[in-house]
Amino acid sequence: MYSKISLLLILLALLPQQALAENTNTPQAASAVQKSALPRGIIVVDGRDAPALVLKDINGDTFDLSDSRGKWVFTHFWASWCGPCRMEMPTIQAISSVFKDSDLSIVLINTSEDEDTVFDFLSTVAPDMNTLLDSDGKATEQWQPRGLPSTYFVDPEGKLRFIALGGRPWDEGEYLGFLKGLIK
Amino acid sequence: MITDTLKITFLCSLLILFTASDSHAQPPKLDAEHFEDKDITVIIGSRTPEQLSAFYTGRGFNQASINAITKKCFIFGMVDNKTYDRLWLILDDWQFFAADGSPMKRLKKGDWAKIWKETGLSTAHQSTFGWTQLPESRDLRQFEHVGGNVAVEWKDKPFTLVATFKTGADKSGKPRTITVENLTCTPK
Repeated sequence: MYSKISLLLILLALLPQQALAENTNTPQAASAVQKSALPRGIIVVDGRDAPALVLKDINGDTFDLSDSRGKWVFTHFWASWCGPCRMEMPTIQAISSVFKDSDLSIVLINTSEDEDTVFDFLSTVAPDMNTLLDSDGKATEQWQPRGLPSTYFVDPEGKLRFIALGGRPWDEGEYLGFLKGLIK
Repeated sequence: MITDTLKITFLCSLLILFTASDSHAQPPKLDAEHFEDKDITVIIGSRTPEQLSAFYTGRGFNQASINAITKKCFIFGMVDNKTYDRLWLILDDWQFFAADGSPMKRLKKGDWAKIWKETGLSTAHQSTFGWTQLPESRDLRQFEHVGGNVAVEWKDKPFTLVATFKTGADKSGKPRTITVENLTCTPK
């Protein structure tokens, strides 16, 4: 009895990931496949061009999103005062090591806070993470996230393909599977 | 299970939102009205001037802006769409009525812009303030939630909120209306 249930559970768990593995060589294929197998809270967007994003990080280095063509970009807007951001950030740190040197870049954008606040937060909540500083909030306004936190997925051609609504447990099964599916 | 996790996360976030600057304080009591059925969850409550002052002072707001904020009446709201393909949060569909039945003025983005011009609040802080408010309009997808504050002019007497939510992608579905009576500008 237990073995049958276990087998069924294993098959159910494998099915969506199998689907992801088949046709995700291109952004178009990724959209088509994942539309039917998206984790809860991930929605498909229309593939419009991602807004420009040129900001300095906490080390003073400049990041330009347009330099990331050829890679998926996990583009995450956050603030230290936002409760869900605080809870989600460790899961982003966890996946940052999984996707290091892969075709998925993880980019954080802090909204409207000063360097000291950002540094204090990251040093305690996610010490391995860097972030871009949108000190005046103007870049965030251009992207018009549906609240904080918000995560956009920019495809290798610079198009917006998915949005994650609110905080998500990125290091857990279906979400991790979704991320891996993007770059297979 | 994920939905439950999100709800807990969001409720925690509501608590954390105004206590982040004082992590050693006792967790505040969540004094709010809670409506829940199979389709939606709505939580409505009041912010005290002390909570508002502590939060925005902790974010570096100048004193003139803090004074302006604490003269207003802040109501917080959380809306969770559990089943509708679209549930519309449109603040113009939220009507506040004073004890005598007269409509109460809700402060909108333009009202705050005038206040910030007078108090000299920086652009960055204006942005932070904006993120702590409920959006003027949002089409909530299934499993999406939204939370934040909405400000009205201060009233000493209890007042009523009648919040209507349109449903459906084209807003043609059956609307949902929730009435919250005896709201006060400080928690009960």
